[in-house]
Amino acid sequence: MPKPLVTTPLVVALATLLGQPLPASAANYQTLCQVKEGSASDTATFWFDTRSLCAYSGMQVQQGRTYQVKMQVPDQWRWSDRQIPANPGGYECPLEFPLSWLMALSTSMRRHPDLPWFQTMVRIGTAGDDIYALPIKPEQLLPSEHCDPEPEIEEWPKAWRCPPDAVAVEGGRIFNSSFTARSDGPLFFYVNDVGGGSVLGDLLYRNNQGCARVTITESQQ
Amino acid sequence: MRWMLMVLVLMLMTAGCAQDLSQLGPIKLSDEHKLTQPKLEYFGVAGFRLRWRDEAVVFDPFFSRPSPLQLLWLTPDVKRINDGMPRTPEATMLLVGHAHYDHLLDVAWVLNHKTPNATFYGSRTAGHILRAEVSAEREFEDAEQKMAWLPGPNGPRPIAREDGWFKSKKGAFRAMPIQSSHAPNVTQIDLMGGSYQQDLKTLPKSFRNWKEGQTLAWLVDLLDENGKTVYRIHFQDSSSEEPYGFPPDPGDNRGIDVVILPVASWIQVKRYPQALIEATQPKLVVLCHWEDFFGGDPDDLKVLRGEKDEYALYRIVRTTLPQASQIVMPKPFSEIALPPL
Repeated sequence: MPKPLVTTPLVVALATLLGQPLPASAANYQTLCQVKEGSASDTATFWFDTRSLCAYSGMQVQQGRTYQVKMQVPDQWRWSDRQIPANPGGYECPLEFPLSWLMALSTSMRRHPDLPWFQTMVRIGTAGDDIYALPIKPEQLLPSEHCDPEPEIEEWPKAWRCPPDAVAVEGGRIFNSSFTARSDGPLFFYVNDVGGGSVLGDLLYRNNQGCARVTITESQQ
Repeated sequence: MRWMLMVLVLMLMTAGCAQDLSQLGPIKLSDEHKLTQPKLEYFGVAGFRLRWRDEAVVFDPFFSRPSPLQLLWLTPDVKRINDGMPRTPEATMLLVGHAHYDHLLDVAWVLNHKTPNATFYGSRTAGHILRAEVSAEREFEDAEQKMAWLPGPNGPRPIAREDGWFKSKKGAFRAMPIQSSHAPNVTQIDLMGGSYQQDLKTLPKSFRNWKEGQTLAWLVDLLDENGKTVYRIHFQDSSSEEPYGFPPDPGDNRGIDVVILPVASWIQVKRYPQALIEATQPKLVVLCHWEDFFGGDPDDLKVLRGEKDEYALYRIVRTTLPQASQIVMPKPFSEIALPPL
């Protein structure tokens, strides 16, 4: 039996039993989102790990300014939510029954229930609610037969980690986006998934796979 | 609920008794003393000291051996450390592979009292834990900054950074950290994973709060006066999934002379240590972390509880190694000669 069929009902049951309003509890960002001291700058290039509940970009943004975000996903670091293929815009392929039903039942538990699974999110500041769903534009579209059949995803060893920030890796797909900051503060990234609460913590982020080398620059327009 | 889970895991981890040495089958433990240099001095678990020219490097010193009942209230056993660890002012490097208590609990005491001139090299998490007891003036090196890294989740093999070596103060050693991984323990539940992002105020009390951090293997070169490698040693303190922990190619076409590898949890990891031995083909393999470290009398050696068929591991190493290569499973506080050049 596919593992999501086992884990999803388990999570629904667990969350119900524990009475944990997951998206609300995910607002505990002051603990989740931490700025590394002495690392702030006006531009940033870093490796984003999809398991991170709130990854610091190393960058401070300023209100009213527009920022270009380039996400490079090398083939060996391609994204998936366990066995479900994904990219910075969300799931790549339509889910099939019964997984589609199970995932639909768990949508209310996502950190942002009204946004797609695995949508790349950015937030400004460790406190407050200045959050953006990045509108993702891939430089190259997937071939039409990409999901027929759905690509098989290999489970990675638990110890995997993204390459060091200083290291560039060639190839893969590029995804572009931009946003205009509504406030000043440090910039964080995460994908929309279930987690962040005091009970589940990062439990359901641990089955995420994938990295992106993210470059953020202030738009000159 | 969390406490119940912890106690359950603790019970599972320490279930059963330490096993008699007869469990080792035909393995003959090595118990050499007063060897001439160069030699490894084994402290038990994954602890070693290696002196070379006028410097020394210390790996994972651990002497406290708390009993299962003490695992929720851990403190370094100062008497045992003082009895076991010789004062080594010539030590300029102290290397640690990961931050679980059986590798890090005694390190702060050793740094403060036994190796006053050693710089600490380890993961960020290990550094954050040790700062609870080691002053900010004392030099720590973040090994993750120079760590050889895997270009994909499954390899093929770690890649050395351009400036991936740490050099010792007087130039007798250099050490390269390598991205590695930690075997699951007998419970298969990863309750001791995780990391710290900030310095701790006190050393953790519960075993569970000695969080693993980034697990590292180490490549250590013993250098001559001209900076040329005389010996190359590969050290890891946890069984790891291939190719995690594998030595990268530092670009000098030099092989590995000695591999130091742990026995603990070996059976939980596929193709361990066969894949590592195939890749390194060393002249000498030193098997450590084989003995029980949950309390007990250090003079009355037992095999690690829960560990299965250490002789099978020995046979795997033997059949994978070149015929002329040696395998040593040392008794704690004995010495191991490095292979002749």
